[in-house]
Amino acid sequence: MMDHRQADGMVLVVALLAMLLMSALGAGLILITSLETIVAANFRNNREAVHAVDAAAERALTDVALVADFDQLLNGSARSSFVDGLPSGPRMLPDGSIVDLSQVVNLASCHKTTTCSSAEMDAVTVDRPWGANNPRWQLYAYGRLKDVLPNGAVDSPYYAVVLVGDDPSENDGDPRHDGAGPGNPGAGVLALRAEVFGSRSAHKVVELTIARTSRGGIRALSWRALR
Amino acid sequence: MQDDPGFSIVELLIAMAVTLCVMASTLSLVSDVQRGFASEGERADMQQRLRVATDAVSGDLLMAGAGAFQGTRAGPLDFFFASVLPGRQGASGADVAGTFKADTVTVLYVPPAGAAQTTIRQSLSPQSGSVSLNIDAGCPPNDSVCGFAAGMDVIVYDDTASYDTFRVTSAQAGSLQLQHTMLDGTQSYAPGAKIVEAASHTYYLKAAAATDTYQLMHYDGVSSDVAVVDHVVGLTFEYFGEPYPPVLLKPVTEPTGPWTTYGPKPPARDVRSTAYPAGENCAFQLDAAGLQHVPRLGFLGDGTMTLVKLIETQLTDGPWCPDGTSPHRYDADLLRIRKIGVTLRVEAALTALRGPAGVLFSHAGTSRAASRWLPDQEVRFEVAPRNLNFGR
Repeated sequence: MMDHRQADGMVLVVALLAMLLMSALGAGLILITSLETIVAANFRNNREAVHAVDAAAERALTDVALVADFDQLLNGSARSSFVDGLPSGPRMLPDGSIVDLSQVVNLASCHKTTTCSSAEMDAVTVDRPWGANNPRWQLYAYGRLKDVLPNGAVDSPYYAVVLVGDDPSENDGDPRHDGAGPGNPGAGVLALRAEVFGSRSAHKVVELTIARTSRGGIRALSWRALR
Repeated sequence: MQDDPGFSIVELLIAMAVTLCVMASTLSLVSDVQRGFASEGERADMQQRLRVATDAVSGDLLMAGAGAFQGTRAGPLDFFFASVLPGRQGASGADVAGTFKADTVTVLYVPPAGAAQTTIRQSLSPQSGSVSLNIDAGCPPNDSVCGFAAGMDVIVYDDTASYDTFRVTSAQAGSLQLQHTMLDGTQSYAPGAKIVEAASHTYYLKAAAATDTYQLMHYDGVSSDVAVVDHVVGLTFEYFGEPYPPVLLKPVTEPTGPWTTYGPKPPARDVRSTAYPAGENCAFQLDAAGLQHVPRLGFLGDGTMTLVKLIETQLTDGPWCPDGTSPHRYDADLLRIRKIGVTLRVEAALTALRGPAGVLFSHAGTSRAASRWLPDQEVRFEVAPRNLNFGR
């Protein structure tokens, strides 16, 4: 005669094994789908950032076109109407992360978060090979992208920063003044650098070279997405 | 124990029936989960492959046409030559000039950090050799080769709608040794022609049925063909272009441009720079009186500014740039391109998840149970290269 307690034990073991198998498969599925969700979200953020940085640059360009004297941009005395306060200090993103405007400028100018010295900004590097003509970036426009248009017409979590600098093809060695005269190929030419920051460390940068037209308008010479 | 009557046959049968029911439902559940486990991983992989392919292709298409940003002849490349070509271009396996392949695209652009850009000091033949450089404004200080370095890819172009790609094999003392990476030609570049660091990216579909290899491939224009994504079974490029012909904005004798709305400026009336008559090029010709430059290209579309889909015949029937005799001529309508549509299709890597070939599957698999099928996934997106849309 079979022992009832042993039979009960067998059922328990079989049930536990079945549950274990199903739990493992289920956990695997959950892992795959949750990873997929994260990957998809990152991809979406990345695509959105491309358009966000483009929008930020376009917004700044409309204001740059209204500035008659490019020197005002290069010495920081003219700013876009798209600003959200003083041109320094931290800004909080919707996910709680912080963007520090001063650090953004310093990183662009000398790859440091702290204040750049003149020597550091004039240093010849791979991405800043022009020495004394290296752009000395100035904050021009900065704010939440959703504030570009009123009434929440833009639904974007990105924070945008646009910097302006002198065109490095100038031969005056003075990156705080736009060159003048027919002998200076960089006269009336500026560099713009637009950056956007989003959740999950999303970050995109584009640089544009723009030139004053003979009719006083602005035309773009080059649009470059930095990777 | 002897008093224990044990299980009756009825009890045993009921117990067995209950056990069978429970086991059956458990197994069916396990089977469903197992099937999901096998296919969901593959489904996620297919989507990831689509993302990688989309990212790679769209990133380069977005940059297409970015030109020099300092010195003479700065501005988008479509003011000088076509930077989007519906075929493979480069040193090896290049398509015949004027070819249209719906599953291949080549884009050219000056890379974002491409600071190396200047002009040539002496005339340059479109073949391997050396070239001396002018050290123009914008060259890095104290750099006799203006930022150029061995291994760098460069483009040389002028105002005749010609261009040639090279790889720098050495750079020293104001000159570069260049390896020509296109078919050799005969038309030389005059001193003052632009030389810039450049990138050539060709994307194409590799479909080898014999080895069951279907891949999205990338070619760098010189020597390297690399698979970007496996199991890509469909790749199509469509082109959308400017409906209006190019317009001359100012006299071609003016020292600074842009002279046209797009396309290369024509030579002065008495200057012949290509096989076209004096004063003409692939984008402009002289009117009947021989006095005014008028567009060689026609109007497309319905008279609005809406972009027009450019079909194969339009992109292979001329007029040819720089002219019909050039070994790497291209259709002037390619200068119109403002938007590129891309369709990508991937299949499940596991044949056990693919059914019979048809609408759902490009290539047959081994599965006959529809519940296990994982159909091909397709995505379509459009890219408007920023540098080709400044005028719109």
